[in-house]
Amino acid sequence: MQRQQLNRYVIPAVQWLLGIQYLLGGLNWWFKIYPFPNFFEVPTGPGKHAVLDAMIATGWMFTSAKIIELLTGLALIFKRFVPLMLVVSFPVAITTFLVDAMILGDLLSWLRGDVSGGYMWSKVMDMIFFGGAVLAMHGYLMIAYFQYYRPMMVAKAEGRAP
Amino acid sequence: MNVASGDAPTRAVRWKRSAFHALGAVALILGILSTGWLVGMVDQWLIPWSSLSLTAPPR
Repeated sequence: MQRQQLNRYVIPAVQWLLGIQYLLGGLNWWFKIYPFPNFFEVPTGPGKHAVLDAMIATGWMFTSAKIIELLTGLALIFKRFVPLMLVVSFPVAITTFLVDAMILGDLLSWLRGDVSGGYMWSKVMDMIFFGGAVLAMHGYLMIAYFQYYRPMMVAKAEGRAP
Repeated sequence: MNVASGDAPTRAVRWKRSAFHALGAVALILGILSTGWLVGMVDQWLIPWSSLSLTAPPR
């Protein structure tokens, strides 16, 4: 099978996978289906929990992110407003990755011998399997739908009354 | 470059396509693994929540 033909299957497959992941991640905020932070169970602790805790403490930031995740999941699964929702949810994908990628402190601790190799490996796994997977799928889909963003790529644009 | 007219794609176009396909392969593999893991963990349906200790063990 030609690589171009593969795109006909890979793009919808990645779209479904990311849609399901966003939908489940969003639902978990209101319905406890994972051991992740939940509206009724605010996390406490250092590292990424401190970041999530601060977002939740604002009272709107984390809920907004979860609403965007939920809407993006539905958009990707039902193929409605996909290019738009990919842009709207891109900050969420970046934040998800950065929260999981905050491993510099752990890396230094590992190099100093304060934490075990297994602990360091788990942090890398966390970065790749959760934040990294979301970012890879999201980036891939944005490139696949780039034709819809091309008209926005103008250096000098003029506003006009509707 | 006009692929429809039968012109051969330039090196830059070939490189972009290769990079896109490579990213697609990475996205698909990571997507299947992470989404499969998450779907299996819904309410501990197929995979226990304790499996997350793979990504967050004690120090």
